[in-house]
Amino acid sequence: MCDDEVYCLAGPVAWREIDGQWVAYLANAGAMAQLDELAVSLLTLLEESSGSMSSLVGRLEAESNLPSDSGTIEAVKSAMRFLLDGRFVRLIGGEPAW
Amino acid sequence: MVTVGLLPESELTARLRGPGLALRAGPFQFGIRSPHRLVSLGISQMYRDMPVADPSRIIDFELEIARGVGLRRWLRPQACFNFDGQRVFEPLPAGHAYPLLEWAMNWCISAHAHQYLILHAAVLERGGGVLLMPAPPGSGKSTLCAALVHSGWRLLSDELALVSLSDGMVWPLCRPVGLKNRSIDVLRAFAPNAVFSRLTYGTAKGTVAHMQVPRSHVARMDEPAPPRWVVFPKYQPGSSTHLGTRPRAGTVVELARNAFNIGVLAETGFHALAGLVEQSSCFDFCYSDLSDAVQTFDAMAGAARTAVMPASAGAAPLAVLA
Repeated sequence: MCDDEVYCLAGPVAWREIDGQWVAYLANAGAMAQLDELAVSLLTLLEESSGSMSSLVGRLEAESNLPSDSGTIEAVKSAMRFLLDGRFVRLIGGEPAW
Repeated sequence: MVTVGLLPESELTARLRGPGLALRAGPFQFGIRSPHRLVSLGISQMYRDMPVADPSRIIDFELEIARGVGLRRWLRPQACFNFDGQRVFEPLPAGHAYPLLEWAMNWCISAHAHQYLILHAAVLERGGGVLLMPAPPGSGKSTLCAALVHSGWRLLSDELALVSLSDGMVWPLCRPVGLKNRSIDVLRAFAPNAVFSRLTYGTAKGTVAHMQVPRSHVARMDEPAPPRWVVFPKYQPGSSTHLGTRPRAGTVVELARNAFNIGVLAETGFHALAGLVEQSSCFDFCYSDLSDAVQTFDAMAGAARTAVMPASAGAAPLAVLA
C-alpha cells in the first residue's frame, strides 16, 4: 500500500446493526461482511470523502483519539486490506501496477 | 376447487399434450405442457391435491418438458425444458422427465420471482413460526425436512424460501420434497405412509425421488407465516445431536450466500434478509439420527411456545436439549 494511493468506496453502502455487530452491504459489488469497529470507521470516513492512507489515519486519529503510532497505522492498513479484498473499497490513482 | 386428482387421467394427459395444465403452487400459476408420460404420471401422483389454476388468471410461468428433436425422438430419447418457447437447460434422458419438471419449476421461480427475496432453504412452520434451513447439498437438509413434514411440521417448501419484501412473511409453495440416494430409503422407513414418486436413476444427483406433500399442508397453501428460526443443519455420520446458537450478524452474511436474487434486489433484499434474521433465533445443528433430530426440533418449537427465546448468541437458550 503506497501513500499516494487514494481509496474510495466502490458504491453506496447499506448498514445494519444486529446485536451490536455491524453488517455492511454494497450492492454495486455484491459485497457483504460483518465488520469490526475500525473497518466501520474507515467506511464511514470514506462515505464522507475519499482519501489516502495517511489522510485516513490522520482523520481517524483526530476523530477517535487513536494513538498516532505504528500500531495504529498497521491496524488501519489491515482493515483497509480487508475492505479492498471484500470489494467495499477501490483505489483511485496511485502508481500503476506496471 | 378442482384439484389435479379430480381430473381423469385422460383429461390430465390431454391438457398436458394440448393447451397446457394450469397448476397453482403457492402464489404462482404454472402452465405446463409435456408429451412425456412420466411427467403426466409424476404430476398425477405428486400434485394430486394441488389446485388446477383458473385458466382465466394470468399464468406466471409457461414451461414445457418437450421431446428431443430429430433422431432424438427415437434414438436415446430426450426430455427438453423450454421456457416461453426457449431452450433453457441441456436436454436430459427422457427417463428424467419428471425430475426435470421439478428442477425447471424451481428455476422459473428463482430466476424470475423477484417480488420475493428467494433463499435456497427448506422451510417449515410450527406454532405459527417459520423454520428456515439453508444448507448446501449433502447436508441432510431435505431428509430432515421430509422427516419434519411427517412429524407435525407444516411444509412451506423444501428448496425455496419466498420472503415477502413488504412484510417479511414467508410464503408456502407446497411442492413435492426432493430426495436422493440413501435418504429415500431412510424416509420410507421413517414415514411408511409417505407417498413417493417413481425412482429416477442416473441423474446428476444420483437416484432421485419426490415425496408428496400431505393434503392438510396443501390446504394451507395460502397461509404465510413470520420467520422464527434459522437453522444450518449438517448431517455427520456417528455424531451426537447438537443444537448450538450462532451469532445473528454472521448469520446474515451466511444466509446471503444462499440467496438467489439479493444481487437483483440490492438494498431492498439486504434489509429483507437482515429483517428476517432479526426476527429469528439462529442455530447450527449437527445430527446423525433422524428421530433424535426431530425431537430436538420439537423441543425447540416447544421452548418457543413456553418461553421467550433469547435473540442473540451466547447464552444457550436450549441447554435442556444438549
